[in-house]
Amino acid sequence: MRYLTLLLLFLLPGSLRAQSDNPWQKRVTIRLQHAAPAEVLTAVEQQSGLRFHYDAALLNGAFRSDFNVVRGRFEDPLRNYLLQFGLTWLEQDPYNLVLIPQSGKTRPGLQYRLSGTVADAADGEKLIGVIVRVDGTYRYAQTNEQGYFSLLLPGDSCRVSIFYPGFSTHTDTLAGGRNYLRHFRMNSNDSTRELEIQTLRFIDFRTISNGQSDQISIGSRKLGQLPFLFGEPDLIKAFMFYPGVSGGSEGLLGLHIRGGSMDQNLILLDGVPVFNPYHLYGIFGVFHDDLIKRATLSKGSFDASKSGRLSGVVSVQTRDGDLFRWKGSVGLGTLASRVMLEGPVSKGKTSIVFSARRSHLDFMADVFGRVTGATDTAGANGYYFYDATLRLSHRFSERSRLGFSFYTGEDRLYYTDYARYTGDSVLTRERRRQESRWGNTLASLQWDYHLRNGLTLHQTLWHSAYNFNFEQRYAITRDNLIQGSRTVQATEHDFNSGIEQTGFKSGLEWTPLRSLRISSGLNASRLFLRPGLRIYSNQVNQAYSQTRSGSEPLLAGEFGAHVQADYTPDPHLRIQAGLHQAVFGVNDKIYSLPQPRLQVRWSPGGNWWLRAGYSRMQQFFHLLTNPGVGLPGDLWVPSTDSVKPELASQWSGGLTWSRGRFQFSAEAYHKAFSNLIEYRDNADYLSSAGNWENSVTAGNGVAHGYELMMEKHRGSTRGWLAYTWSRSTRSFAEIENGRAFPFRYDRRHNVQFVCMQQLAPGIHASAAWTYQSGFAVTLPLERYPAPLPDEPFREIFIYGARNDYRTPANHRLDITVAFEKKTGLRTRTWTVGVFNAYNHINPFYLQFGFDDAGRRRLQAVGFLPLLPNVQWKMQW
Amino acid sequence: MVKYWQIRCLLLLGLASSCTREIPFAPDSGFEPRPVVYGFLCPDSAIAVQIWKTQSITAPEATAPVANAVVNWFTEGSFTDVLSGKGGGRYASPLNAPAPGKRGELVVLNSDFNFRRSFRMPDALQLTETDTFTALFPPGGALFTFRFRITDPDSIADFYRLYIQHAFYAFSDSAGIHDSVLRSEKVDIRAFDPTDYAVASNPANRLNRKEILFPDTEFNGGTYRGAVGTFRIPQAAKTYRTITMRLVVERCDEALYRYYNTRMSHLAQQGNPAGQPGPVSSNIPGGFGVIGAYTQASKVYRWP
Repeated sequence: MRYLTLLLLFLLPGSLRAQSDNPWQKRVTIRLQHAAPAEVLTAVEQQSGLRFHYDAALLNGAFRSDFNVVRGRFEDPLRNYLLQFGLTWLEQDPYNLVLIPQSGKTRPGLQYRLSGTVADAADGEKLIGVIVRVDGTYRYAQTNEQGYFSLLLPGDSCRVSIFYPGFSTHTDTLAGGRNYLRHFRMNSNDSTRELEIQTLRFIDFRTISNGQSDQISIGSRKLGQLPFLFGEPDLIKAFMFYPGVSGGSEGLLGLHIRGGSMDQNLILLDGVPVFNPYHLYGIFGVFHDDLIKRATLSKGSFDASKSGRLSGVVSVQTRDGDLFRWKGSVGLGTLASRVMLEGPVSKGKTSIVFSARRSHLDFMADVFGRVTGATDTAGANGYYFYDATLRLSHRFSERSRLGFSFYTGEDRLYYTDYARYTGDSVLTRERRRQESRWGNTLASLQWDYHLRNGLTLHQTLWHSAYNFNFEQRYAITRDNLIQGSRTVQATEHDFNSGIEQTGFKSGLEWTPLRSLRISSGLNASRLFLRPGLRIYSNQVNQAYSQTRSGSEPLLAGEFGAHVQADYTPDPHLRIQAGLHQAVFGVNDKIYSLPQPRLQVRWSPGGNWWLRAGYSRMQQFFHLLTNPGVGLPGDLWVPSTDSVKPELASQWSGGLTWSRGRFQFSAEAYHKAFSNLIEYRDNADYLSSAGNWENSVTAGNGVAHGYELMMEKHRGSTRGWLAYTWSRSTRSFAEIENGRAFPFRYDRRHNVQFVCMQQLAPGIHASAAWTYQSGFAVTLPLERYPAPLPDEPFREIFIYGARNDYRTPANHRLDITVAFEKKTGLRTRTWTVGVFNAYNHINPFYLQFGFDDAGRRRLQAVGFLPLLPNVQWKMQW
Repeated sequence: MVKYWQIRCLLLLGLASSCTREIPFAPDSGFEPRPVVYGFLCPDSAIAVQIWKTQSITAPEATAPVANAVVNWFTEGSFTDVLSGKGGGRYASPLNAPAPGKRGELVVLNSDFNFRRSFRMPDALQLTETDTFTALFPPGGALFTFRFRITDPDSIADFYRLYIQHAFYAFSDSAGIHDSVLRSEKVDIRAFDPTDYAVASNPANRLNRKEILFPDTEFNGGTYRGAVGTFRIPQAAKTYRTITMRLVVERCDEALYRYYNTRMSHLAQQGNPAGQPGPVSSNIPGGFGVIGAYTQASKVYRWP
């Protein structure tokens, strides 16, 4: 026993020393959030005494993640941490480790696939743009617009992570050795901290994987936080807060993207083109923020599946509706009121979502008129708009889904007048009515089928129509009270123009290799255009006559096919190459031109991404609009024998860099237009429906610019600062002898500053300051008399060069504050705001007035001064 | 509630009324007046020319007439007369313009500019079948129709201007009989086919819709019906009486036709914030205005 005690006394210090010297036995505390691997290794080295030796290239481009050990051993956490990057270590000696790639057990030649969908666990709504990633690799996939993804696995067991802002990260371990079909459900997470981390992870990964700074994505959450006119969330206006996008005259939408005109944007609602995405002469958009799942604006590198417009593609995806419970919302605002209802028709299988909105300007005007006595009770006049959206979605299985979308919206401006009087025993009744109505109707039926081998099929049958109607009615009835006879006389004047497109498209997505994704598709559509038809009718008792004038309706057809390859040979390089071939036929004339698309993205490391792209777009029908503002009666006209399709080729490049809470992006572009059409000098845009081809001339255009954006995307204060320098010119052989002149909305400088602040739980404020250089106008410089025998006093103005004068710059500050209160399942939100807070008069147009000396003075006329707004909304 | 709406609307109106502001605009720098010359020559009237200079858009003064010009008139290449100044930039000769088909030439000399402009007087115009005239009273306004034929196979390059020079009508209502100038909404030319299709109208001319311009390639040899419509009649009118209308058709040369056309469009777009007025056609070198020739025929209609 004595010897045993002596032996223990001899060995214990050594044992204790050996334990204290063994770095693996040390208990360490390391808390690193969103750390780079090198930072983690350094922290481990400092606390453990280990030394890591590695080739820096092994960690190039590795994403950041958390590493946490609290008073514990670090071996297992470190092993799992490095496993994310496919790394492990070899011990050279107890204190020196060499990092090496993990030796996998992948069987060469065999590849397995994980495919499926990702949905919100709460309501079953498919999520778009969710990242599904194999941990430790750069293998990832993003869910597409239908919520599907397909991802090739390394072959061995692996862990996949799924993350999306606002949702807890979902992980799953796959044993490997076979294909998987999984339908993940993610739980939303309202924890601000968790949300920030998820957002950060998502943005970092998105930046690393995409580096696509010429795309803007907005969800309903962000949309609801931005300040808008009358407090009405507006998707189209939200895009104007970003670089490269500007509006028309003050208050009007008229989305102008990179020097393009407003008809050069393809606006898609669930894949169906919307011809007029505006209400109230362009002041408001037609999209309900409640229904938007995700909206994306592409400014430069267009997907090969998109074609038909030159400058931009806005793709809006609506929600499918809650599959598990009924919920809804009601809102009352300064301008409009709305209701939204969604829920399961068959729980877990079929959902419905319905939303409707109507303006109440007419009610307000009516009340105002009655109060002030301005309204004649014998008649009425007013304006309103409404829109309604219905979406039905049915899931036959997790792999097969059928969707039906319907949208209808209309603006109506009307005037009616009644008169009734008696004289000489004759009772006379007169009725006048004048009405303008315009709006869109869209319907689509979509079927998505997800095949087991990574193929996804999308089939869509769709219809879109835009109509403008003008009606003028007058009727007079005379009843002879003595003779008992009646005479009826009536005149009617109708003007109708519009466009209808019905089509079918089929798309296929396929991931044949880990690094290659292929999408292809076909589309065919039939166009029916009514460039303007006037009908005059006269009725005198039983006699009736009718006169028709204007252009006859035109029938045209469009067929297209596209293929696109998305190739990612290594984590630092991504190449997207595609081709769209469209064929357009009208009046026995066929137009066809290949439209290549190419985009290359490359990362030199350190969260830097460089991007370069080229795209060619073709447009077969055009909105023949007046030089000033867009009006609902503007004509959609097709390419014809004499009017060729418009073309645009765009080269663009940019870089993206992100660090911590900030992301910086810079873009440059050059765009060349050809076959643009414009009204000839002195053409009359109001009456050219009958001979529009003679009223237009064709020419070219050039646009180039630079876009910068700095965004802070986490923390209680978020926002961005964006700046655009741009130049856009047009030249037409028949206008000023081909001299290049500025495009009307050529705005040289464009600045947006957006700030969103969480003031307190349930209180959110946002402010947006925008600055835009003035738009270009043509002003008269001289005058001279132009007498005629019957008109001796008219004056002619001699105008300067076209669009040679600039209106003063537009700038304004919009502020909004939202107060949200949750009570059980209900959430009540009051939103108060002010548009144009410092009441700066931004010019809508210019006019000449006269001063006291009779001298002409130039005046800017605006119509949107400081406008307060308040909105109430209840959700349950 | 009433007060609330009134206050709110007054507030909005107050804000809206402040939506105009003056902005700097100084186009006068470098302004140099340019000549403006007009000469409308017709065989039935004296030769006359009007000469001004352009004025800056912001100047309060009227356009300045040119008083020291020398205007010479040549007929068929031979010097005929010097037009004498009549004041206000007007120069005139006691002679009438040459007969249809003859050639004339104006030579304008001035310290700042000089030019010559020669032209051929258009052929005489014959209107036929202009005797048919009806007046209908559809609801909302009167519709007057007339029939005319233009036959000129030898010179299809001619151009025409048709307008209602004046029209009067009287109507009666419970307050008595009133005379009034007819305020025509528009004039158009219609074919005699069952659809009554309007083959020419002048919607662009919102300033003077009683006027129509057309080249004779459209109508030469055909018989068409002109229609003058108005919707501006008194609501309480019971009967219409004594309608008088003077229809004028001009055959003009191309320079004058282009001037009429572009002037009409320019004036229609002027002041329209959404419009884009273009230049008015001119055949004055380095200046503005037009020297052109026309012949005309007219007919007065009375109904009933």
